[in-house]
Amino acid sequence: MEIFSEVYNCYYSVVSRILKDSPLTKEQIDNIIRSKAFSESVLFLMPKLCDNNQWNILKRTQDGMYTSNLKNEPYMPLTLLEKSWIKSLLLDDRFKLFTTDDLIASMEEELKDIKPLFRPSNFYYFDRFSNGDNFLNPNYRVNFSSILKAIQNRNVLLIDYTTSNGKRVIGYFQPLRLEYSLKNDKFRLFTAKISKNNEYRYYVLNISGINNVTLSNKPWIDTLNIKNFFNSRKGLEPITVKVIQERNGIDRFMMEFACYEKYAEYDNKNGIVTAQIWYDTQNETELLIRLLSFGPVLEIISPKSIREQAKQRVQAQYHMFFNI
Amino acid sequence: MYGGIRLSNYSELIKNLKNVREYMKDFYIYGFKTRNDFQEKSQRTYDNERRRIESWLGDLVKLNDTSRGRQVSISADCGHISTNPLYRAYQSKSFTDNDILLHFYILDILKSEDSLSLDDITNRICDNYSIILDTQIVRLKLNEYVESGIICKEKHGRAFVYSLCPQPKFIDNPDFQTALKFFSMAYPFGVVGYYILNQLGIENDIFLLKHNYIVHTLEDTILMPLIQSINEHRTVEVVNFGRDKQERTIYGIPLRIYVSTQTGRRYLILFNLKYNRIKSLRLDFVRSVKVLDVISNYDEYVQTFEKNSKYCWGISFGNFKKVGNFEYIKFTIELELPKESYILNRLIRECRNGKVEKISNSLYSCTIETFDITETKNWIRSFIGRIVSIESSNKNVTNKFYEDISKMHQMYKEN
Repeated sequence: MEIFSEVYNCYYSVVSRILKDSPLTKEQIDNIIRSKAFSESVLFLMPKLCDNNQWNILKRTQDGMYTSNLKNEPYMPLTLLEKSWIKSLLLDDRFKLFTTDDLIASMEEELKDIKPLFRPSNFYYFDRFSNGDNFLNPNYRVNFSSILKAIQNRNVLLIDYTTSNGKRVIGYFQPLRLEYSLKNDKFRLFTAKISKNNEYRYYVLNISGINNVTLSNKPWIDTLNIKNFFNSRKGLEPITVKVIQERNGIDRFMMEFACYEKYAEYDNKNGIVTAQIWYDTQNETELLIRLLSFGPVLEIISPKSIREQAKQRVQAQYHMFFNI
Repeated sequence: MYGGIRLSNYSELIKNLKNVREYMKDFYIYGFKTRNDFQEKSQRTYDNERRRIESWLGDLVKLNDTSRGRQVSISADCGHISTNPLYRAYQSKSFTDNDILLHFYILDILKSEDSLSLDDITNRICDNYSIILDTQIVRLKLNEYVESGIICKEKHGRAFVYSLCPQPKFIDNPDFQTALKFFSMAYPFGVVGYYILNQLGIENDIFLLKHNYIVHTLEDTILMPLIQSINEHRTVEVVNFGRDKQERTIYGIPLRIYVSTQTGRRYLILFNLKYNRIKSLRLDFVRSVKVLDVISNYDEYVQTFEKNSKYCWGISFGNFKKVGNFEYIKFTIELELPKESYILNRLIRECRNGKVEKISNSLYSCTIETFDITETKNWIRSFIGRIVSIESSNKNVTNKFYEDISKMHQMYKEN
């Protein structure tokens, strides 16, 4: 089973798309390649498909259109690799959040001769937090499924929720996206809370904190969307840090913060990386403690407010240790 | 020539991912390196690999001119993306003209007819598409597709007949397709889910991932034989390059893959048969894997690993041979309850194998017994500002901790 194989090649899927959509003009074929394939693919594919017709997959008709030379629509059944990967999904508790027990049973039957590509127990997430969600909890499964359908069908929900401080909130929420954290092993809902006079505010709700979900007849508001959700939470300026290579600091930092949008420059005279990290303001404290955990190989330069928070924590610690 | 641009020998497509994954990793993880920083390969190789990555990833590749030269980076906020853009690399496998022609022709022929012999298929290619191909070429492609599970091969009388393998019915189920959207992002070998989504013409429009280290996908071709060896109880020969760039070949028994959700690293945990000890190897430093023989006493190694793994904080098994030597570290934090109960909750949920104890209403301690307490330092530093005391069986570690706080105090003294 090859994971890197030409049957998954982008050219194959683009040619397949062209054959499915044919008859097409040369310009339309060119457009499909440009939108679906790599940025230089058109240089290779056009001569093969149209100009020299080297592949003889399309034929040019008298009206200048290109039609498929195949008898049927292009089709490829799942490969063994794909089936094995799907078989591995059946071993994961989270898969039950998406499907009914009947579907799982029929999938198991259809894949009974297939070995899983891997087992979840092959992997151990050693620094994952211990209070992850219970994906098998029946109430959790019902709520998760209702939210999923509401996102797909653009339905506003009436949600009964208990916050991490134990406060109970009941309100109308427009669900936008479900976020899963690999570190916390938790699902969260990105949502907009709609109040009586149609005012709104963006929230993140832990799925495990949701007591009950019901469909409402409130209309969906198009302006409440994921793009505006992100914009509402983006820090006004990035955090700027300086990192030195002592204790492999630069490599550790760049790797750990790879998942953030960032810009870095290296000063090779002094061996210092200056990096700017764009972040979500709601995660500011999490980010601050992660940066402090690098110790003296990393210094927070700006914004002033975050540097000040770091300074206060370090000063407090210094006084505790040295009683000064 | 196409559109006035001359085509050179350069191609967007590649035979294997070995070279390009190093460049992709550097562009994505570091993003500050310039052409001169890539001295291990020729400048021409650098130019070609950079061009390929730009071609695959489009606008995600950023070019910035600095005093050191032009630096190339792959920029993506992984919490905001709906797919892993690095999967595109897996769609770049090179092929021949015959490969793609046979792909479409054979599948087209077998979609019309239930099962055909090799000769029938070769004749149909000639009749339907006016192309004469050698039977041997068709046979090779058919066998390749039989191995991939696309085509089924059965014996009918004295000859083999070929047919399309049946497509599972669940593929059209909307709930399954929704699950695919999630697992293609969040599950090991997610690129396989991405392939299926592509075939179905579906895109993820529901899920986002936090703490999402998309670069892991570049290790998947290394991970495949390792997982196979773990599940088949085989030994392996692993070629590994450490930070010192020295090549080492390690012979051992792969036991598990350790994943850090916080540092972005993944490790192979392996029993090194030469030194008779458990070792962890960073997956991104593994260059190749050779799958070797099945061993009969695999379970004994698993038991040894399981006995010891509970004393690991991270991935260090210390100097363990048969019996481990443990170290301990204990620190006490100050907090105001119930106002700061979230701090206590954090201590409990992140303490892994450690023990949290109440000293008083405002003081809680955490004791960790492990092979290598230096691994706990970063986490303990995340409580800076609250640590009342720290003690350990390794004085060097505690002294270093005090020294670090002094250095940080100096660092933040200035405004």
